[in-house]
Amino acid sequence: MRRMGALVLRPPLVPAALQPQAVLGAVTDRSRAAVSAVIDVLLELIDLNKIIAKVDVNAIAAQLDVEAVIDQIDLEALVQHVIEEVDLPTIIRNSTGVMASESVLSMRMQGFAADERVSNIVDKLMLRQGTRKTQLRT
Amino acid sequence: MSSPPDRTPALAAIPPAARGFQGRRAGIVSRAIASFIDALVVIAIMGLIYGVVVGFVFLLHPRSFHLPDGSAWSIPVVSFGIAVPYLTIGWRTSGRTYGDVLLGLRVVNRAGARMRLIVALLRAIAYVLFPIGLFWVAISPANRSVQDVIFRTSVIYDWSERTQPPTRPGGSQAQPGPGLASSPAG
Repeated sequence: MRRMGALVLRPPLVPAALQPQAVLGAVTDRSRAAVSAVIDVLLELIDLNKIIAKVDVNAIAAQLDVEAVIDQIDLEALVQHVIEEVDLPTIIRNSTGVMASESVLSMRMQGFAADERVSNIVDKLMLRQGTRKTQLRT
Repeated sequence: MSSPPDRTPALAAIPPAARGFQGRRAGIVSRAIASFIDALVVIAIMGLIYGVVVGFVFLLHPRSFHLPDGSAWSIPVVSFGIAVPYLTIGWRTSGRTYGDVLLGLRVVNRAGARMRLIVALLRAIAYVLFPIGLFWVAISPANRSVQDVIFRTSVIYDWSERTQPPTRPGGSQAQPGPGLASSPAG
């Protein structure tokens, strides 16, 4: 059947532009464009806000049996699935790692600043000129 | 002469503001904080050992058990016995104790490389017996403690992630921190 269908849609020795499949495709595309244009015109004519204003949403909501809907949902499985997808332990591990790393960097920078401050004070007290020779001899 | 080691990965982890002083001798505040943290580590290990010993004694003699007393002499002996290997192993293996790791410091020899075991051991003993020698760092124009002067060692800023100080064949041309090449002479 498939072969037959293919033979009908794409007969041999017929130019590709004239094959039924190409013709059907062109017709479908034009139909879609036409329907889309019609819908656009209709949407312009219809005032959706007026229609929505006439709808009593509260009445519809009152008729809904939310509990029945909730009963049908396996919340536990859903929560489990969400937790698995989110990979909470990794996020916690990463965030604490970044925090720890930032704390260490901050402590080191403050330590260096304090080193410089103390060195400057001591050098001034000892009437030293210039900076300390902290570079290793290479 | 061998080519300099690739420092790009090490530099990548160091904030730009800190790169200028990498490889320079650290000051008194950083070193004192690192030493304080190391002292806490030693105290924690001592507490752990004490707890294990007391627990073991309790298990052996639960009826006649009482907390050990009259052993004040054991505190300096045990702390010496813990601190010296702790410092020696840290300085010999990576050039860092736990306090040094937190403060981004590394102990290196005169060539900027890892120190020998005997030097690390003697330096550790010297620090435990004469800790006040550390405060010479504040006065020294080269940021060196008494122990650094005696054993020709230096404590440098090294925030890189590497586990060992950079070493080169011959050792005499080893350079310490990743920022040393770009830092001005002090």
